[in-house]
Parts: sequence; C-alpha cells; structure tokens
Amino acid sequence: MTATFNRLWDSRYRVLVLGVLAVGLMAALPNFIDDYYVFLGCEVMIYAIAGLGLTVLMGWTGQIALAHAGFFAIGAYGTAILSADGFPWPVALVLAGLCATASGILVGFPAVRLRGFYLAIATLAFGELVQRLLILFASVTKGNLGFPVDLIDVGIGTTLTLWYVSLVILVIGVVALSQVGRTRLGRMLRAVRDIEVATGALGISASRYKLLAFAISAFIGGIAGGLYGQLVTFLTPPIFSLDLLIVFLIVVYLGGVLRLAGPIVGAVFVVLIVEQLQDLGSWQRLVFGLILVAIIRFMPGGLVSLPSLLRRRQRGSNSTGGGGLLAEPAPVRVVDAIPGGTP
Amino acid sequence: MTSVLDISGVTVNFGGNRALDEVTLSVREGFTGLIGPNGAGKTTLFNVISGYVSATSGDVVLEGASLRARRPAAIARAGVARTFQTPRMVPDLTVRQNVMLGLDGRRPMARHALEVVAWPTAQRAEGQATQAADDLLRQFELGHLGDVAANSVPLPVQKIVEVARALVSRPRLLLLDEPAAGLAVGDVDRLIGPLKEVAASSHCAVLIIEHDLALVTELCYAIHVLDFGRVIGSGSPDEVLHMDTVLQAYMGAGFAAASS
Amino acid sequence: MGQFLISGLATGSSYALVAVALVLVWKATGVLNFAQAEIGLFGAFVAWFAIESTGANYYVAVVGGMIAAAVLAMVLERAVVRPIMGESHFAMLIMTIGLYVTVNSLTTLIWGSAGQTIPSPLHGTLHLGPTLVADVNQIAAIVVGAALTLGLTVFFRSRWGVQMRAIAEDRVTPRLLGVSMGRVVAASWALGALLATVALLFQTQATLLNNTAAADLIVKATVAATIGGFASVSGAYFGGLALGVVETLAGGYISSGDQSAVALVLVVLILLVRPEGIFTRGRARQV
Repeated sequence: MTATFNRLWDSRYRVLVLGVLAVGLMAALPNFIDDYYVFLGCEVMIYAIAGLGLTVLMGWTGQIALAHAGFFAIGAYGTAILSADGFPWPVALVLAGLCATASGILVGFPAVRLRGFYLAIATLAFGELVQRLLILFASVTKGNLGFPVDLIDVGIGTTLTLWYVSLVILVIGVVALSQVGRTRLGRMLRAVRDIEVATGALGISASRYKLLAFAISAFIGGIAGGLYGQLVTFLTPPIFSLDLLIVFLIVVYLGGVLRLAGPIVGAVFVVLIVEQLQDLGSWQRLVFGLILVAIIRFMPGGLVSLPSLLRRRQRGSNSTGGGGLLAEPAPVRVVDAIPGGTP
Repeated sequence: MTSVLDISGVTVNFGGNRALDEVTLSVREGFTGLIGPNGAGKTTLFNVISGYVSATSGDVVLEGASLRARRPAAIARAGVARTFQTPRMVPDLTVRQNVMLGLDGRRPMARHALEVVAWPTAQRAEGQATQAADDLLRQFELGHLGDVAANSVPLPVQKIVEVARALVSRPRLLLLDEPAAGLAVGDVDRLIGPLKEVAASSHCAVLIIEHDLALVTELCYAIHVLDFGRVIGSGSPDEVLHMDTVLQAYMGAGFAAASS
Repeated sequence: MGQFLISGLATGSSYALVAVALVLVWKATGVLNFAQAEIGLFGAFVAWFAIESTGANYYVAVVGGMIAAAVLAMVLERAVVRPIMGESHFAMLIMTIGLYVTVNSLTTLIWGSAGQTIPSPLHGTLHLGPTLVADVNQIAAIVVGAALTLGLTVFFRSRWGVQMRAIAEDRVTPRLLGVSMGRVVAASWALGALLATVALLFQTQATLLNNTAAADLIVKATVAATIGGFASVSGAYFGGLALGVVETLAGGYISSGDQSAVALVLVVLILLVRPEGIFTRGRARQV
C-alpha cells in the first residue's frame, strides 16, 4: 500500500488525488463539527468563490477592477427576487448570475479602454452605484427595509444544504478555471496581461479578452452573491458597501493573486481572523486593519508567497521582493507602447 | 513577381516632428532590407504597417487590400506578423506556449467554450497547434527548450523564439525589427538558416530592419534606405551601398567625397 | 439655483481639498492614499477634542488638529508605506486600504462613534444679491479651499515645489542632483494631511463629525481627482468643485436621494468619453 501511495504522490496526479481527498473531507466534515462551524465554513466557501471571480479579472488579465461588490449584490438580490417571484432557486441563481454577467459586460466596455487608476475609479464608481440603485429601486428591492430570502432546504437543514451547494460550486469553479488556465484561453489572457502591446501584432484583440474576463468575473461574483443570500437570510443595501469590496480584495490579495488556491487560503484566513476577533468588539476592526497592514508590509506577495519567501531567506539571497507573485510586468508607458521607437 | 506590400506616399507627423516623409516602397516575396541611421523612422514605418501608428497621409496596401485605419489585431489576422526590438515573452508560459500564441489569435473566440470542456475537435486543434509549434522550434534547433519557462532562457534565444512565434502562422508579410541585434555569430546562423527555409516554403515576404550590413547584403535581394524619414535609396545591395547619398547618411559627407 | 450653486461649491470644496491631497501624494509617491480622508478625520477629531476638553481657541485647536494629522501621516508613510515602495500598484492600494481601516478604527476607539459638532467661530449670513443668501461658513469653505489650492500652485513654482515635481516626474535624476526624496515624500504626506483635515472640518459644518464622516468623502475625492485627470492640483480642485455642484444640483432638481447616484453615473460617463479627465490637457488613452 505504501508503494501505491508513493507512486501516486510522485505522479502528476498528485494534485488531483489531493483534491479528491480534500473534497471528500469537506463532504464528511459537517458530521463532525458544530453547526456554528458549518456556518463559518459556508462563509469561507462563498468568499472563496467570490475571490475566484475577482482573481480572474485581477490576476489573469491584470486589471485593477473594483466593481466586484456590485456584481455580488446583483447576484444576491437577483436570486432572492426571482426566487420570491416563483422561479426555482437554481434557475434564479443562474439567471441572477447572467444579470451580473450583463452588468459586467456593461462596465467592461468602457473599462477596457482605461488603465490603472482610471479603471479602478470607474469600476469603484459602478460598485457604489449599484448600492445606491438598490436603495433607489426600493419598490423591487424593498430598499433599506430589507429583502427576506427564501431559504432552500433539500431536507437536511438550510445550513447544511448551503454547505453542499457551495462545496459543489466551489469545486466546479476551481476545476473549470484551472482547466481554462491550461487551454488556449489561459494563454491568451496571460498574454493580454503581460504583453498587451504585442497582442495586437499576434492577432489577439486585447479589449475583447478583457471584456470576456469581466464577463466571467461578474458571473462568478454573481453566483457567489446568490449563495450569500442564503447565508445572511436577509438582504439590505448597506451589506454591499465598500467594506465588502475590501473583504474581497483582502481575500484575493492575501491568497496571492495568481494561483487559484489563493482565494481559498485568503477566505479561510479572513473568516478566521474576523471570528477570532469577535470578542474584541470595537478593537476587532483595528486589529484587522493592523494585521492587513503588517502582512503587506512584510509579505507583499500575499500569504501564498510565504513558502518562497522563506526559502529565499534561507538561501540568504538578496531578493528585491518585487511583489512576489503579485509582481506586475513592467508598466508600459504610452510612449513605450509604440514599440521600439520614440516618435 | 508582383509585390506583396505597397507603401505609397506614407507621411507621419508627430506633433511638429515629421517622422516619415512621403515614403514609397514595395516588398516582394523573399527578403527586403530596410536600413538607415538610428532615428531614421524604420520602426515607425513598421508601426504604420502593423497598425500601431496611423499615417497622416499615404496608403499601405497588402495584396490589393488597404491596411489604412485598421487595428493591429485585424492587420495581423490579414497575414502580417512582426517582431519587436525587445522580445515580448509571456513569462508564465513555456517557450512552446509562447510560440503557440502566434496561432491562438487566429482561432475563433467561440471555440473557447469547447476547449474548456475538452471537446474532441478542440483537442485536435490544440494538438495541431502544439505540433506546429514544436516542429518550428525544432527547425530553429530549440526543440529541447519547449517546456522551459520563456523568461528563463537567455535574451538571444528569446529573440529567436519571437521570430518563431511570428512565423508559426505562416504570414504573408513578416516584419523583423533588428532580429540579429544582440545575437552572437552562432545564434545569428541558427536564426538565419531556418528563417530562410521557412520563409521560402511559406512564400513569405520579409521586410527586415538591420544594422548588420553584411547580413543584409547576404539575405536581401533589395534594400531601401531611410534617413530622416525619407527614402534616400532603393535597389540591390550592391547598388545601394555605393550610392553617395547613402554613404553620406551613414558616414558623413567627407567620407562620401573621399571614396568617390 | 444660485443657492444650490453656493451649496454645491461649499460641499465641493471639501471634495476638492481631499482630491488635491490625493493628487499631491500620488505625484510624489505613485500611491493612491485611500486613507487620506481618514487622516483628515483624525485631525478634525483632535481639533474637536482640544476645544471640548480644554476650551481652546478654535483656530489654535484647528492648527493642533492639522499638526496631529500631519504627524500621523508622516509616521504611517515612514513605517509602512515607504518600505514597500517598489511593489505593484495592487499591493500599494491594498496597503492604503489597510491604513484606511486602521486609522478609522483608531479614531473610533479613541473618540467613539457618537456624532459631534464643532462650533464655528463664524456666524451669520451674507447677502450676495437680491435673493441669494449664503451662510458665512459656506463662503469660508469656498474661499479657504481656493486660497489653499492657489497657495499650493504657487508653491510648486518655488524651489521646494519644483523639487517635489521633479521627484514625481523622474525619481532618479533629482536624487543624483541631491534632492532628498525622503523629505519630499514626507512633505507630501504631511501637506496632504493638512488639506484633508481642513476638508473634514468644513464638512462638519454642514454635517455631523463622526467616524463615518470620511468614508463617503474618500470615494468622492477619488472621483473628483479622476475627473481632474489625476495629473494636476488645479484639475483635482476643479474636479471636486464640479462634483459638488453637480451633486447638489441633482439633489435639488431631481431628488436628494438620487444625488449620489447621479454623480457616480456622471463620472462613469465622463471616463467613458474622456478617460484622461476633463480638466487636463493630456491624453491618457492607450495607443
């Protein structure tokens, strides 16, 4: 048996095997832990899913886009409203996800022409706008009075149902996205991120692919939002504020923007910290902020870069840090964007 | 032989600076050289042809179709490929994957859905692309580097990989921007031999910017000389390199007078 | 209409000052300081506290608040921002977001979340025309905002100011010439803190001073700076005023609930058409 284990460990199926084990563990876990931790686990998975969506946009195409709370909100409210209107929940979820996708494309159109902070601001404005609109259209969303969410239950209780649904969606998300990473699409998105100027010469329309990234990111964010509705059971516009966006950024950032495992790590960490600090009351937020500042100060590449950081320190090499996994390719100034020549 | 590319009266004004002035030249199948002192406008001409810069006036025609006012991606898909003075490799991808990028832009976007679910037809197309990339890399004697991360190979090798990436789509027109710059003699040979073969077998018209005059003379049947944005000489290497105007541009009036 | 204009300019002056602060820090360090408004809030609270607990003179308290904010800003810059200067934009942004959370929670912990008011030493109204009546504090906000911005623009033509701009444009050459980058960077953070404190103080004439007062402001200021192209102090200033006016007009003529939304939609539309901002001369679009 040990021989088989060793063979599997060293084979290229190691990740697959570990993945299957992890999923199996997650599936069995609720039997061994308190309901409270099941709830937390759902929160972790939902944040991780949202984080996956944001990773696609930020990590894969390198766009600092801050509209994610908006997509999340559209997914949450969309699912709840459609579900209340009589649509079966899975259908409502997908439809709401598609609504989020549509908004992602809408935001994406102007956004793909913008760079750096212009992009960040425009997308931030969109996110804020969604929150305002939620209040404005109170006739549909019940505004600040709050929208109660119809909870789904497949017979094992609402929390457990959410656990398994989230688990399935998370697994699908990770598998699908890692598959994308291995295909032509993954190559092209990376080209758009790293050598955008050259993509034109390769026949790749960078703006179309950035738009695609927006669409994918928004869809995933919307789905995560729909799940979130099940978690909080009651939706109000203030939930989807800047603070939520900050949580997403921290989830993605702590995990390291490039790897898919990142958001999972980030989500675990965020939820853990938030829960651990619950008893500290108002000090909680301060410690949260300090931890974030400390992490970026000493590990700008995110937690996922910790192993390589430690290795570098061991070898005593003089690493410039360079942002670790998050290192952006050298920004191409507009002048340089005309390759090789100064006008 | 009819020309593949016709540039007529192309003028480019950057603010007050006239980077290109009524440039007219044609490129046929085979190798055509574009030489001239630094700042003469050679790369600007490449930028105009490939769509990165729009000409103030004049036209660029590829086999009868005008390339004016078209975006770089559209021009590339029409059969124009180019390299840059500094190679642009995607660091996260392998050498092979970087070469495959040369083909990726030509497959339709809609197919991505099939690729993600590993649909057989998509798998087959991917296999073909992989094969094409590998074959080309082998021709450049870089087959053993297929799986290596693109940013870990030395710069001269990256330059060759970029040429391969441009060639993999069998373009009609290939623009090479100083491909031999920074290459040692051995690397240059490794580049030129396969380049000539592939260009010949694909009936490709290659326009090459180079400072290495010996290389240009060896490769090209025709050379155009640019100076201050203007064409100051066109013809066979022998003719051009003995023209007074050309010698003057490169070496100064004194040399030209002394050598005549 | 004139009423709305005055009101809008007054609100806009707060946006403008924080926007100018953002651009200042951005030009000197390449960082978008998301914590800028919170630093100003900290300073405003210090001023309030000085008045409340020691009965200090208003102006003395204000200066005290500004100094406190400047010190806080310089400490933060030195301790956590400078060490990560070379990192990616994303990392820097997250850092300032972390600072935003930290500074805000610090302020809340020290002074609580109850709303406070700072009684202004200026009272009364000004009659600017047959029907136009403006509160003195509004006029003060507009005038002070303009004066500070003007002062800054003049300063940038001075020797110190030129050095600062040099550092912002090109980090290597000025250092070779002996300009101390550290001092320029610290100065920019300190100046930004001063401006933000003034902005918050003016804002609290119209609304309450509490721990949420800065949250909305940072978004508006960022938007304003963007409208101004993020390139110049004057651009940011006019961007802030414009945002304030548009918002107030929208609130007056459409409905006060919608005014934020209108402003945001407007911003997105503007960026669509002219991503380099309205009050700039340059072109930011990618070739």
